[in-house]
Amino acid sequence: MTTSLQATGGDLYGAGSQREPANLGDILERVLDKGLVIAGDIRVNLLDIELLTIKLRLVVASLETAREVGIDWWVRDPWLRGTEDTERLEASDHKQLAAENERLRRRIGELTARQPDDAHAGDDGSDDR
Amino acid sequence: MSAVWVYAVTDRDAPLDVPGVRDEPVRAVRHGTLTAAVSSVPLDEFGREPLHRNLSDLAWLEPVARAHHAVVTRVAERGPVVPLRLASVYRDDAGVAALLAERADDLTTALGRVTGCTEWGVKAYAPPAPPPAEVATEGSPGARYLAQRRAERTARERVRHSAVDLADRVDRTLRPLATAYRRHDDRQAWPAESAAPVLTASYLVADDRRAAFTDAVAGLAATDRVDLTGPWPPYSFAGLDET
Repeated sequence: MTTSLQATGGDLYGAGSQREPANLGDILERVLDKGLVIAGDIRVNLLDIELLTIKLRLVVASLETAREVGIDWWVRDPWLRGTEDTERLEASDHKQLAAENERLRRRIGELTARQPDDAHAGDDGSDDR
Repeated sequence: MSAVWVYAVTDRDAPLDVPGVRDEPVRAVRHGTLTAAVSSVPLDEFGREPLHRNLSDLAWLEPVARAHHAVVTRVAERGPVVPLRLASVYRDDAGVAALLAERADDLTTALGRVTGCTEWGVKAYAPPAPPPAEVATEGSPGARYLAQRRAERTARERVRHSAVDLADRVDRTLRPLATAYRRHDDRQAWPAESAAPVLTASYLVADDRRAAFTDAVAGLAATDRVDLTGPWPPYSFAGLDET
């Protein structure tokens, strides 16, 4: 069977419709995480797709973060430095926690300074017991 | 010694004038009406053990992923395509032909499903949370503190609700324009303060509805951050067992 082929709509994926060359993160998201996996007659086989997918999630997660802050993420290897990336991902959480912690310390300080008055009032109340 | 890298399956006898992984020429393996686009890869780099190692190396992975995508896209330009997952490596052409024979019905069905369609990726992002308002300036410090916490909680809830609303609105708007769709995000896992998209979805869009679809996304993007990528070969719709 050799049906020769007319290009159908050569512009389908062409430069005319593509706004910009596809971002590596977008490509990885598809070629690694989507696409048909055939478990049939794979002899030489592959790899553990599951493990690869987990690694991908780390990459894509750091890509999202990197895109937000405009980092050239690919100069580093996020798979080898997963912990560092995780730290970076959580940095904003840490900052928020630290700020809340600071606020609570201040609060406790103020309340402790008022403690004598409050305690006295409490003693007054306890006389009625 | 070499093995066979499979890019995609199509039902067209497409000209394969695009370099494959490691610049190897792409050739066709045929069975019946089906054609697999393949190329040879050296086993010392693409065998099980080295491949596993190499896939963890982004510097190795990038050109391979781009080459894979380029071939899949080239095939897709010429007709319906079922893209294979990256690193589908077979021992030889006969193994690929056997695969085509064995899964001929499924593959033909999958090709029928994506004929005349392209995939579009959509990500919607929640608006950034406003800074927590300074509420009460009078009253006891304790009362002020509680009011402050209450205001923060309310603000967080409001952001969360508007994010969920946005995701629903995007999906409701786009789904009727699509032949099929896949939601990739996990709504349960979405944290209120995260920069992660509140909606990550792929839509399979018929070519004659493409303009309507991209217009609809542009409409949504006028008021919210809604990112569109595409057109893609139908990576997210390549499954054999879906209806």
